[in-house]
Amino acid sequence: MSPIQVDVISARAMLLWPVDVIIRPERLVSVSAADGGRGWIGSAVEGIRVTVAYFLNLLLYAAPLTLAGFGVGDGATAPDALAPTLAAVAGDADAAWAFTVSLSTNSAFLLAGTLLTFATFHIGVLLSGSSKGILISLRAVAYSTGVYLALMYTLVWYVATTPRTATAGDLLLWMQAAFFYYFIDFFDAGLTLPGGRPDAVDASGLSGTEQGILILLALSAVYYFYVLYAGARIGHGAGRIQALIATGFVLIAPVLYVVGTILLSLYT
Amino acid sequence: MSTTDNSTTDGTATTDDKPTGPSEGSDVIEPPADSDQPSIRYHTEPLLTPTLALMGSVALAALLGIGYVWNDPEAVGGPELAELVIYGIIILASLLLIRLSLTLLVLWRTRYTVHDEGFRTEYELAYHSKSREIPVEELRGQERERGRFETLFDCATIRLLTGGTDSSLGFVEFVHVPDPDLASERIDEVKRRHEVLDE
Repeated sequence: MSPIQVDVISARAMLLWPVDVIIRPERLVSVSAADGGRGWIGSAVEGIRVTVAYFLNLLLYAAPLTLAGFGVGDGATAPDALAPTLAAVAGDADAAWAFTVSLSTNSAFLLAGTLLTFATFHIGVLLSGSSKGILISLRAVAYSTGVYLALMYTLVWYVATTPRTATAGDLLLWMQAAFFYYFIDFFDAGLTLPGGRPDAVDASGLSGTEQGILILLALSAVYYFYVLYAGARIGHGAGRIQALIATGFVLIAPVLYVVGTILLSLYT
Repeated sequence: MSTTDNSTTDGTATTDDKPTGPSEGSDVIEPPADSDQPSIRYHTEPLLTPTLALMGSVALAALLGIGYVWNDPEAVGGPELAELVIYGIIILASLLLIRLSLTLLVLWRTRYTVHDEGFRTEYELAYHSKSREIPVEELRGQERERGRFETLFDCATIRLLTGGTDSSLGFVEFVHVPDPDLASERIDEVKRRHEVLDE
């Protein structure tokens, strides 16, 4: 294949990418016929490619947040060992250091979400007996979290930090607390979260923008799980039940976390 | 959408008219004597009804979901949240229907061909065309799959598999073939004919 053909295909793929993200998300995790049966070198190259694509997505998510001032601490000073290098590269060593720290902090939440998703998804795939290798799980998780989970995080950030969307922010906090209290009440644990049990939020106060954001958030969640399901079905060749088990394992991970935390609090 | 078969009882095919290109009404299409084009042994187009039925199912499921939430808004946390859920269902169903409509358009313009030298799937839509072909000597096997809607409408998807691995062509897929038994038979015939000529 000539370099010109590669460029044409890449440009077309880039143009079609938003269509794939919205209309046919399983394309993101499907392996083309030409990719089948690669050797270990091919697998390593594919692994690097997926990882690089993920970190580029992570940067696309975290950089605007950092530039907008999220997570930027005051008075950060560059460590002495790094100050000359940072000064040579960026001019102002302290500003460059503050930016790097903020970028890392802003990326950390999504990265943690990705690692948790990856671990639970691959365990689910292994438990359902349909695993065809860690690389396929990596691909599914890289796209489901790099695109859809990143969008969910961005929306939650926006809602939580914008005064105009305070009602939606309160509603999300209430849902989160209600989720915890459901299990606290179920086990009759008698525990309380910091801040106590929040009152139900009057959803009639939601503006049109807030409604739009919440709908987008819910749709992103649907896509996030669907891409994992498609990754299990197409990538791992899992049956419907096996794919549902793998995806369900990601879905019940927060439940296991909350139940585990409650039981630990009760018996320690 | 029809599959045609003018073959005789002994498996050979009639070639009375000898048309110069693929057309409905003939099974074997011999090219002109001075042409180096291979003879077409079978050609068909995918059945559209399974995709249409799937679209109907999506619309029905969306309506049922909306109806349920509409009748019992407290099930999702009250009328305001019910409104959000209904909007979500409408958007999701619309995206699915758009996507299935695109699939339908592509299938409408798709054609499958079995000829003496290989197996081809091709479509042309809105000044964009795409074709994929595997040579007969690369064919290693057939895989047939029948989804629920395909069973309902008596069609199937046939995958023609090659034996390669790294960067191989992989396979050619005949989706929603209306008469899968006939299609498989023609594919086997071409393969056997090639093997006999090769010996």
